Amino acid sequence: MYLDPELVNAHLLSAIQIAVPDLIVMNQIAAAALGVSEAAALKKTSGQIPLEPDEFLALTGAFNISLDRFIHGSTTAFAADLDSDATPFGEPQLYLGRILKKLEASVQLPDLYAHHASTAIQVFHYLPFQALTSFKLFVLWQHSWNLPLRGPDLHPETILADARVEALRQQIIQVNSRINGVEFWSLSMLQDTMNQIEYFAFKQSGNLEYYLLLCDELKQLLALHQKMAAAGRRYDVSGKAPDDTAGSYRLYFNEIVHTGNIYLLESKVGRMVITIYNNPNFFTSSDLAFCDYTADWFDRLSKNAQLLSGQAEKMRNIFFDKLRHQVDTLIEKIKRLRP
Amino acid sequence: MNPPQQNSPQPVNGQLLRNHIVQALQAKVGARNLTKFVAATLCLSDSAAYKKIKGLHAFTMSEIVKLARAYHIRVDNLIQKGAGRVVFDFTQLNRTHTEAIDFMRIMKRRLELGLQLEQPVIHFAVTELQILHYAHFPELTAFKLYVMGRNAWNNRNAKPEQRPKELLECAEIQQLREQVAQVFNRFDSTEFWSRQVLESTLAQIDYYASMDRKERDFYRVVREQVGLLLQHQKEMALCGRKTLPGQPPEADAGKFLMFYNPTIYAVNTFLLESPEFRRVFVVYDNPNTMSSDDPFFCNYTAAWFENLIGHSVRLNHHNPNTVHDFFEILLADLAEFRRRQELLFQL
Repeated sequence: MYLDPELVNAHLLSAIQIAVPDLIVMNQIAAAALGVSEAAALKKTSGQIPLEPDEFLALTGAFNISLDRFIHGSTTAFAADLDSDATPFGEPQLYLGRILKKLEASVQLPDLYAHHASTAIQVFHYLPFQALTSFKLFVLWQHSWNLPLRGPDLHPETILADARVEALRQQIIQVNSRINGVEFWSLSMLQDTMNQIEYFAFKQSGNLEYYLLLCDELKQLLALHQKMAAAGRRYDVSGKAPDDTAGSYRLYFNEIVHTGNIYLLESKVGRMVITIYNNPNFFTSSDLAFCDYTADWFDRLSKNAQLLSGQAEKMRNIFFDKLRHQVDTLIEKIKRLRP
Repeated sequence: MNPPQQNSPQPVNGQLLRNHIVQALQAKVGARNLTKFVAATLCLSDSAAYKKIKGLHAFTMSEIVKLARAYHIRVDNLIQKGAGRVVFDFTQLNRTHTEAIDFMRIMKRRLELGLQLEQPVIHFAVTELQILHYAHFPELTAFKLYVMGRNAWNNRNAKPEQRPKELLECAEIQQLREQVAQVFNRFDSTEFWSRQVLESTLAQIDYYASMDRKERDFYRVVREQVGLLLQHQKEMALCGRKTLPGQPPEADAGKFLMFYNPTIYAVNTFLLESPEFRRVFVVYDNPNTMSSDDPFFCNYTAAWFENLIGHSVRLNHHNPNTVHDFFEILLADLAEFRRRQELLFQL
């Protein structure tokens, strides 16, 4: 449906207000985008002074609104930002630094709620576990980022020996523990990581105890999430009771819907989709239509999934037992490598 | 959502949108006709239109909207030019629901257009079976379309859902299925399979077979066709050419390279490449796919695929044992699934 061209100014302003309902924040963003004072921006955003064409461009860019949607009625285009340095490659410190920056910006948003659908364990899952974290970063180092090996003694553990990386890990764990959210897991959740463990264990079969330790940490990861699902709150890895700052936690079993790794962050001041592309890099988009679409998708996903949190103890135990069984099978395979 | 400092707004120089519209118009109607077309569209005199085109007088926003609409000019690409910013096309944003037949028509159309390119190649990272794999198998295709209708296209609310057997009996869908399989066979393609490629499909069969036990014979056929699909992929990997299942490659069959990657997590991603064109397709909520021809993004994805090759195991006739081992693992998963399901059927 086409909008009346004469009313396009009013339509853009109302779209901006939907994108960022907090008027003060909205006006600050508009002022920065237009390069004018907040007072001058207010005259524009309140509709007292009509926007010039390039001011339309600036505002639609700043608020991630499709101008084509106004011009052509419905449109299928949306913009997303690829969070990397224009290459598929990175390094642990930069990667964790970017994640921390994103998280810290997110937790400041009022009433933040995170929806997360995944078919593989992600950085927020494995960070509480030291050996697993260093192993996952090592795999990224070698196979995704193609960084040069630092001498023949590069071992996963040397990655966390870097104090800056370890500090970032601790900070991310702490910030993440405050986020309210819901997660959708599938039964193939561990497969990607188990494949990696199996691959390296078979390749470097001299240090099998290390790979058994990784399996043990995978089981600890499962125990932690089973406990969080039962309590409906985020726990830290020490297992001590959550304090007042701990976020709420719900878990669903997504049995049949194939997904990538998709996050939807919702807050009073707006929404954002984060989707992993070529792990571990990711896209972010605040495009209204794309966020609406993703919110609808999460809604459908929850209707097709089984709740594992709270009272669903039997289903929860069955689910986690199945995942533990997968790890046990891998442990047996690794043990068979012993001379 | 982003705080202001995280955005990279375009500088407001007063000419950006006007220049873009004028350039795009000129490309469409020619420099000589520009004034006449602008004047006619905006109901202005030639002289007033000329002054606006030359920037002596400003276009209003409503005039820009009228011109962009009349000449189908997109402007989002102009806005979204920050570092790392990519404009995607995602047709699902315009749809309230999708019919299986629409999906098949779009697939066929896209493939036919792709085939018109000079030397088109598809690079394809696979974590879940796609229509391009199962289009050879009627029951499996009908089943997957049914699952997608229920879960990805939200068709349950739109109208009575199409059951797998109805999809199987729809002549047009079957014709489209065969055409998709045949057209895809003519592309050169490189596929990167993950170890988890069957998991989603097997979980779906398990779920629906247990819900609909009177159709157990249908689900047996679906399950057998997953095995045939694996056999077909294996044959193509060994042959290095695309084939129809159980047949030798036809004269115009594309080349086929297959890799297994044990360590890199991917989402289902396609890169369609030819000397004059590149486009990336990313499966978002399977099978719904967003795509972009943004050069930065295409380069990024091409580099990622190159890295993937470096860390993958090649499955071809030079390594028949590797091919055999890889498919044996998948076939063993399928055999175990078959055993569990038969047990369930007997209960």
